Amino acid sequence: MKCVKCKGDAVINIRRANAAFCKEHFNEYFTEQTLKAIKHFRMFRKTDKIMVCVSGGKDSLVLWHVLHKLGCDVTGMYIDLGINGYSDRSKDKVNSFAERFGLKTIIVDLREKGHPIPFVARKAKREDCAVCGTIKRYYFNKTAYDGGFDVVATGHNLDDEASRLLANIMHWDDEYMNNTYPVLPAGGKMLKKKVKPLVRLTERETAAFAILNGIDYVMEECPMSKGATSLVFKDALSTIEENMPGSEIFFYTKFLERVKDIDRSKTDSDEMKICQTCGMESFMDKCTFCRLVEKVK
Amino acid sequence: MVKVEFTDGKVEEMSPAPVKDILRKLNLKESTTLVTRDGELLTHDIYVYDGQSIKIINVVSGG
Repeated sequence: MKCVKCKGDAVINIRRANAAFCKEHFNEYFTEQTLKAIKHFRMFRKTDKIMVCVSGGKDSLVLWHVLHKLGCDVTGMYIDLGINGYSDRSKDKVNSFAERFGLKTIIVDLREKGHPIPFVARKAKREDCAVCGTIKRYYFNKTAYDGGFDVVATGHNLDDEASRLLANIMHWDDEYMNNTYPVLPAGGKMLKKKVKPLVRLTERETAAFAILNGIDYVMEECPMSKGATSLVFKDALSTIEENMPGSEIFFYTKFLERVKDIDRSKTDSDEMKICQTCGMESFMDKCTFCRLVEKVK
Repeated sequence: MVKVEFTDGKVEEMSPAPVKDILRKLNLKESTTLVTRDGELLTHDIYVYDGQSIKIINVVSGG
């Protein structure tokens, strides 16, 4: 198979684009797709201070790498979830990556803070992934606010977003559906703008980018995510894509066109309260995070 | 035979064939996997010969 740009030997074929690329032109394609998303959705300006949420997985490390290469002011923010073995290995990947490229990192250690995910989930008698979501969201918001960042970027890719959209359609969940968007505006005085620059790229493409560019990522799945329903929706979409290449991006981008004018600003700052425990903005007197961790004290 | 290694450490032996056919025999989708030989990515038309080893990387992450 030959590269569609230079006719050299291809290293990857992308059926949905009816294309194949050599390493050099795949990197060019990957960067172009990322830039296209950043510009089209007006995600950030080059001078913005960006916090990238990194997990040690392929998507977040690749996003960090691409934004750094584009010359953005970017800092990686890693949360050690306190999952024995897995968290240590993923943190090692983040630290090695940051050291190799001389990147700024912020690490939040949930074991040090006294609320590692398995412990909180067990004590609160709640699903691991639900607890993880609440705690991670809190620290993403708090760290971005405390650090004076303009934007929070995550490595969500086309497969993540399209499968999430499919799941929300299955439940006809209008509110969640409307928030399946690559940019969520800042809210109140503390919530920062959130962006997903990899939404035009599949996870096969981010994995290929990582391998081709020597980005060492944690390949194992989080042991607590076994049986995650998101995998069922991803499997259904990949079956459709396998038989009808291009269906997934068509499904997702057509949806985005339909909802592009919806106002996603969460609330006016007047409606927000201040959490009596931690001082972050909240819809209630005490925020969801503080209510959760109080249960396990 | 071709040695096929998986991300989880499992190993299988398969008959020599193009990558596409090896994936089909293993019931794997092209859109959810990458295949490497000696660390280099292989497109699906590449033939894998007797005595060679390949790695199949599952790219799907959940949670």
